[in-house]
Amino acid sequence: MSLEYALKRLAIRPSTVCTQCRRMFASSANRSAQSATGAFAAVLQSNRDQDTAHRAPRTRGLAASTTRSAGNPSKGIELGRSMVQEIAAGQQAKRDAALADLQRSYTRQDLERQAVRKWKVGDVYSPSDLSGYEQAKWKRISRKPYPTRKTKGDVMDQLGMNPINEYKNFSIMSEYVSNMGRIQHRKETGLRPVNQRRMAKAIRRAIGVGLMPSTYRHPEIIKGTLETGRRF
Amino acid sequence: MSKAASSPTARLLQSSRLFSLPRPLPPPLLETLTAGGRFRASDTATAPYPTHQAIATTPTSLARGDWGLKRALPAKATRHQTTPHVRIVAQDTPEHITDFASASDHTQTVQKWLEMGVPIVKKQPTRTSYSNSNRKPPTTVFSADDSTDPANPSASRWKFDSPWIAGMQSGEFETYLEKVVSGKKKKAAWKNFLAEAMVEDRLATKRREAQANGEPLSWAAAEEMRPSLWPTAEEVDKFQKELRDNHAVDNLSSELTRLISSFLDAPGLSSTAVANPGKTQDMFNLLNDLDTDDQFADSAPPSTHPAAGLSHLQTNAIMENHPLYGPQAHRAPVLSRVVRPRSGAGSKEHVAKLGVAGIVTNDPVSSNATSGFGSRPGQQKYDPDYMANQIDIDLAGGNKMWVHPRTATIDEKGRIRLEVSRANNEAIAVKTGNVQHIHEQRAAADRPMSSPRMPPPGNPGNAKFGFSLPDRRQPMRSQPRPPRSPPRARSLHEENESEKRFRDLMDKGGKQ
Repeated sequence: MSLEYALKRLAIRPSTVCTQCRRMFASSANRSAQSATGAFAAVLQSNRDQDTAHRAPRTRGLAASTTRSAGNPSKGIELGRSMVQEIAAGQQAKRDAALADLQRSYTRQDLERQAVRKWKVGDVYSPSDLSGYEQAKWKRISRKPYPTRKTKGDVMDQLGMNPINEYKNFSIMSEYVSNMGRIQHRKETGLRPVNQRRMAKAIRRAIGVGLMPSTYRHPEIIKGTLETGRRF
Repeated sequence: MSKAASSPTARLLQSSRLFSLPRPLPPPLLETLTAGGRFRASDTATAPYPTHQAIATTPTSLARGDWGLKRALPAKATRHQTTPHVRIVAQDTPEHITDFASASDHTQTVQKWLEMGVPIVKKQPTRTSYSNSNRKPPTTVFSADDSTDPANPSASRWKFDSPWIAGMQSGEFETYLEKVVSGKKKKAAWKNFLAEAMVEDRLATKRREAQANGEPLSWAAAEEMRPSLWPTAEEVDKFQKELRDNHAVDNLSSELTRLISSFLDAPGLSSTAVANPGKTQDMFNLLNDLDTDDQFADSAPPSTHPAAGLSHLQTNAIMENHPLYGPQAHRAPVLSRVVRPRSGAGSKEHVAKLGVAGIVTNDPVSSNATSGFGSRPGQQKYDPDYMANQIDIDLAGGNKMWVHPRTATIDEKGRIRLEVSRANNEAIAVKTGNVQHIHEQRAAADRPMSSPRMPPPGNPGNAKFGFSLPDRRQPMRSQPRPPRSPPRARSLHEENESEKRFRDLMDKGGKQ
């Protein structure tokens, strides 16, 4: 974008805009962004020309504008000059950043992807927790372990439910059968012996009265699993 | 059992590591389970609070690997540590080894924490609605005013005999009712408790009457009268009926609620709600009181003492005295690590996460007030918004931010909730030693009209610099301003410029 437009929109306008200044604003920075090779070429080119072709017009242009403004000291010129400098500095910074990105073997996204752990308020960390070894552990997704009686207690007792009364509730029954419709072991279900027997009886009853298939989970459950992508 | 009374062997055993190491706490849950039942976690991550006792040994014993345990620990693993602290996972295993790990993670965290000097305060209400307009200033967990309040004996307590009833599942509650509450013994105890409450009530009436007649009831007389005031079983039943009827009107603020919670030793409801039975005030006030007055009314009871042994400080209203610049308006800031910037890896969060002394906390400034979306600012300028925004890959040591740690609370899971604010620029300048521009500004402000703009001495704007040290500020002011270095990580033991100068001065003074 040429600075001419920017300056024309100013309320206080310089009488003329330094035409030499335009050259640097219409530099190849925007075009170069279109392709990586273009960017590289542009960076190389700009680097080569940095000391010779780039600096010289800038100083000349600034000198010209100052000499002009010396006769007619208006604020617009000053503003324009500061804008010129700002934009030039911004472009230089962009070029530097592009060059640095090329020289580096990694990007910011790479680093961000390595910091896997979602820190929560109250977490305590030591330097080892920030290491790649530790962060890689947070990358792995684990499945919820089955609630054992030792850790969570009997679910049916906690909820005050009798499994026998729930034989019509196929979503509960399906939680206690495997993919192939086998009743799960009590070390997997975490139920106490009495409730495990009741649960097994309820499942057998549900299968017996035809509410539940015996060799796979209830179709409604499978349908829901397919839709949400959630596995049991 | 006192130690002196037991045998020498018993004494030896009691003081040995074999018996004196406490049993470890259950491991804390690092990650909350999602609805899908999937979670990410690491078994070797640092826990939010230590679960094992950390032990140390003397340097001479360390060299021999002697930690007072059954067998020596390998010197290779312990001798070259900066902080040789270990935790003992198992004193002995079937494989004939002592299972141990380094405990430096938590001991170092405690060290850093103590250097910050943060007081632990009572939990503030989480609601931020209009009802919180009369929000009280934070009070220390050690304040004595609550423990002497007879109307609210449970306010200063954190441990109760009763389980947390509000957190029970329906089945658990049924079991609790069956097994604990509706036993015959418990019922008899309840009747007895009610009778005692009635006696106290009647005694209070007698006392009031005696006071009105001009002859106060003595303690002995009251004790004598006590058996005669004991109610019959019918009277107790009648009283209970009355309580129930009142409860239908007053709900949670009723006398029955108060009696039940003190009978079961459950965390009570608020004192104001209980102290005004029968007065159904503005419902918002009541809800607000329920939330603010009793810290444990609606959340789980705490698992530790509210200070968790982390701090005994009662206030953060401390003015730090800098050796060169005198009393400071702000305490020395702490350099925190931005462990998770606001934007990164495709996700954009409301606030950045900061690690202050190894404890993760929220950046106090949210994304609303952002200004740091542009390119990297000049090397000279420290911009906290820029630091919070995204990872700067060229910054050696990572993104850092200066903060002032303010207060902390320990939540019901035992985690530290630290409250910080972004550091004051002048405090950063003093901390890093780049104070030239402050001197210049002050000189410029003083020049046109010298005294009237100056605040009275002893205030932050006009600190008393003392007279025990030679005033070296004048030559500093005439020096050309040195280029300011970018903010960098500074270890706790590293000196900054001003401290070095101060030490030099002290050395010179000593020589003279």
